[in-house]
Amino acid sequence: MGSIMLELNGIEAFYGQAHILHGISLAVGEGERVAIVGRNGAGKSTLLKSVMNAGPKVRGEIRFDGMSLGTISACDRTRRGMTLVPEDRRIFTHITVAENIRLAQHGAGPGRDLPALDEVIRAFPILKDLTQRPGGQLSGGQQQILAVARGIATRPRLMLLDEPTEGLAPVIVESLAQEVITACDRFGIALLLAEQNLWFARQCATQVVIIDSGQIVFSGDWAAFDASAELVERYLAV
Amino acid sequence: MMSLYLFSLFNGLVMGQAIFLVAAGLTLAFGIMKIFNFAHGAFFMIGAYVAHALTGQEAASLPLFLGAAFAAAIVVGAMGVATDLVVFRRLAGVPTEYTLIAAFSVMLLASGGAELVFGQGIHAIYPPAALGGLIQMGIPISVYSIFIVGAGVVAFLVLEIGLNRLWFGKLIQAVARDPWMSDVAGLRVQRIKLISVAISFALAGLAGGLLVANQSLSLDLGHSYLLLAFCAVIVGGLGSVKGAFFAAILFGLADSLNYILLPTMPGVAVYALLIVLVLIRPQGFYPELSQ
Ligand SMILES: Nc1ncnc2c1ncn2[C@@H]1O[C@H](COP(=O)(O)OP(=O)(O)OP(=O)(O)O)[C@@H](O)[C@H]1O
Ligand SMILES: [Mg+2]
Repeated sequence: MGSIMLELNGIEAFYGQAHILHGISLAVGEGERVAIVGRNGAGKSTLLKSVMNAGPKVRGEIRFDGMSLGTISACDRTRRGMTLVPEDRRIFTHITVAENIRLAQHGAGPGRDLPALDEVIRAFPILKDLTQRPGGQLSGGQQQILAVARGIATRPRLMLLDEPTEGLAPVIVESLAQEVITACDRFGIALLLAEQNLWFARQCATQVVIIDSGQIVFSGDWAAFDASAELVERYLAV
Repeated sequence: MMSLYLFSLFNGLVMGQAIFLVAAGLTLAFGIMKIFNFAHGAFFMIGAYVAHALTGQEAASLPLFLGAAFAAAIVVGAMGVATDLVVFRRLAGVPTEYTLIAAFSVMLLASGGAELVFGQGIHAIYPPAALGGLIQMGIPISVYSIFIVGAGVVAFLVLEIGLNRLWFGKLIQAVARDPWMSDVAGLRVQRIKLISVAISFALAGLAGGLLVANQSLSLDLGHSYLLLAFCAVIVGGLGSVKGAFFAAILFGLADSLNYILLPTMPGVAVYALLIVLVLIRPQGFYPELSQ
């Protein structure tokens, strides 16, 4: 693991009066890939949105590249090198696949060595014949892949990827894991992945964090994870 | 008899384009901010006063008339910038009731301000000589009314092409459809909204400057168009320029035919049409921006 890129210290997150996250602390190194797993409603998405300042009200400290982010907006966090791929995809339906990618690259701001459209499409071959199709005419699965591709296309330093496997066919899940790993390695992207699919999480990440009711209940590598079968049973079995 | 209907149809078309010129900015504002801008009619009226202040009772030439309308667009567009910075921007995420009240108070402020600056007088305004004549096309048609139809169509095409073909138009639509994702994707959402509000207000000012001729200019000028423009925006699908365009033509025709078919009940056709269309298609013709 290289130097620490993202550091959370005692994060509390709220939706209105509802207190969702309790004292979350974790770190992601340069180019490192960390999976956050946990049941429905555990707070995975809330955590990713908190890192992005894109919804919940957040207390505690978030440092990115050693700098405390404070109340910096989601827009500016994106411009500093984060990207959030939300669980509901949020593809723009009125513009084409190519334009969705272009829009994300536009939003990333100037001064980044962005991959060309061709290169992005090559990394996600499912999109090959779809570049000129409006986002609204894609299937749910195609939109999901585009959402990931759109994140990669901005060449972020850190990608916050929220349940990319939801609703995907098993064979697509397999290829997506490979595509995500390859793209992250190629472009030097660190990954914070929220996922319920343990197979996918294991493929993509080296470290794993279990959260339950907004608290971290386990943190370690997969060997430690496998050694604590009883934890897994308690926090992940449905 | 035939020519009466022809005349009425043509008048309806002219009325429809006039309604659209007012509705265009209104529907754009709704699409972006989800605010029904009650103040739109007041800013339309201010645009008319600004143009009148520049040209007097009758513009000396067509370029002067058009120049005054564009100047009105710029002045009212600047008022839009101020309104967004002071009022609308602060209302993002607030329940709609508050935004309605805010828009209503902006309207009161704008009409009150106009009264202070322009006085209560009523002015008769004429189109410039180049648009003043009549031509015979089976029925007598004023050049000015042809000009209005042309202006409406040009405004429609410019907006449609601008919003659907230009990159900035696509960004405006992205912000209108999903402000959260636009922000997360790094777009400068507030800036894009500000520019859109400025465009919306500028359209009100432009409409005021273009439609002012052949009207009596008074503080009530906004009212007659605003109601029909609201109908067109609702029926067109809130936020849709294309929908507002076609709906405006329908309402213009309904209003015009009303005069010859039901002369004793002015205005009833518009309401009947509104009710029928809302019942048949409550989401509007092109509903994509209306959530
Ligand atoms: N916008 C919101 N307003 C209020 N409460 C919310 C909101 N979004 C989420 N919550 C609540 O916060 C808690 C955590 O939700 P979150 O979406 O973070 O869970 P998750 O781990 O991502 O679940 P899933 O696996 O189902 O996506 C849940 O109890 C949920 O009801
Ligand atoms: Mg979630």
